[in-house]
Amino acid sequence: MTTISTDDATILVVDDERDVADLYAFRLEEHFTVRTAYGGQEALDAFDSDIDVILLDRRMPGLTGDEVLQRVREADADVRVVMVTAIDPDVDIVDMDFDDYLCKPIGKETLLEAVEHQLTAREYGETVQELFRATSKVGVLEAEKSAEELEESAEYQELTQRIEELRAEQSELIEELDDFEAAFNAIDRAPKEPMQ
Amino acid sequence: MNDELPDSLSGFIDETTGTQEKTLLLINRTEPQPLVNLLDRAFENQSIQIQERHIPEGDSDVVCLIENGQVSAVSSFADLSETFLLVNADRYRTSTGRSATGSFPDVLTGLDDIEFTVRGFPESNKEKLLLVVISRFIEDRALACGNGEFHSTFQRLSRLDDEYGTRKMYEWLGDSNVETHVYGIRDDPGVVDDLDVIVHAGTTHEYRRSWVVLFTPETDTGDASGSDIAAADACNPVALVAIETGPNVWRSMWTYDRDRVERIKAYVNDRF
Repeated sequence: MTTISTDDATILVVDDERDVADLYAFRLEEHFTVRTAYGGQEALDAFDSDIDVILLDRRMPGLTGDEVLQRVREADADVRVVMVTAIDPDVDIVDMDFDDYLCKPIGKETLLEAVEHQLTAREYGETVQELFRATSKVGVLEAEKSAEELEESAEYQELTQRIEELRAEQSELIEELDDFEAAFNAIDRAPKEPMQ
Repeated sequence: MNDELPDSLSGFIDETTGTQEKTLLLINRTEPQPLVNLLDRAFENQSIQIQERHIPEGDSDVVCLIENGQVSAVSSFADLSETFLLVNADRYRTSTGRSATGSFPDVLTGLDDIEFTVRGFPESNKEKLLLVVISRFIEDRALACGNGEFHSTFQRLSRLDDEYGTRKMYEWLGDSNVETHVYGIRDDPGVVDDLDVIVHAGTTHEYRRSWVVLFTPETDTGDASGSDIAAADACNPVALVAIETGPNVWRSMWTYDRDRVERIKAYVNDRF
């Protein structure tokens, strides 16, 4: 696996709960340059081409995380967006254009792993990036939904099929990708809940 | 036992005023300051005191609940963070909250017989979450015990179907041997029809503005055999009473006092 220096990366942490944003910032500052924004509009104001990864809370008063994501994508900026949320994901996330999705509460290690992964992923081409976006969605849905629910979900079925296609397109990279994907899949995106 | 019922649900909250002092004491903290700020902010408008202390050779990152000078409950700061400080109400609306690790910290559930006035999002991220956590705790206790009576007022019955976690919890309760009653305005009749629960529909002020969650066990040991410690522990009465006093502002308390829980149940049976 290629080792990439991430020391000079800049992370924008967005959460309307100041203390939560400050806590993430505290934990990331040891490794990266960190900026914080306590709301959606503030996030857009703070956003510029120096930002490599945005950690974006989904539910905020005023401009929501979903809206910020949309604006950032419209601006066609080369930035990785990780949604950070207490909302357990539903199949609606399939159409959202994020790079990864983490469910609160987020542990110290998960936070760092997720950011580091994004910094590595951007070194690959678009097909691989799409593969990872799809993988993150499948990952959170599998953690949250029962086997029957997944089987009945057309969105989920399409997503897993798309992953197979993308993997086939990247067959020459696949060995390198396997390691990277395994590490990516191991990120603890959503707290597992035992069902009765 | 006091058999008198108050004129309104608020009467039960009035009974708790000024009974005791409770302090959350954070011991040997190694976690960063923003986590302490989260704890401070969650209780800044309440009568709970938050304090920190360093105790040589003690465990680190421990939270103690102190009542009248005595330690009455202990939780790890990590559990308190994961179930309360670092989540918001969505966590409990969209999932059931029955997570594998320390679901309901004792230092939170131990804040009984105290009046809380809480604000919902976006005025506050954490205040109302406390009542959401306690509601889930009571539902969980009913399920774990597996017998007895459970009553829950929803304002609008459609709220039962708002989110995955809530619906799932009431499916489980409906399927259990717990006699489950739900109360609310029947704004979406289809929602409750598939659930095996007893539905009470009404439109009075208390139907529209109250948030009561209560459980009384039938026996003290639970459905399982006497050796099931978790079930036996769950088979204890508990009730949460909250009234919406302004837009998204709730006056509330919860109690484990057997007589008081019985009286709240009698009130709900009588007035709803």
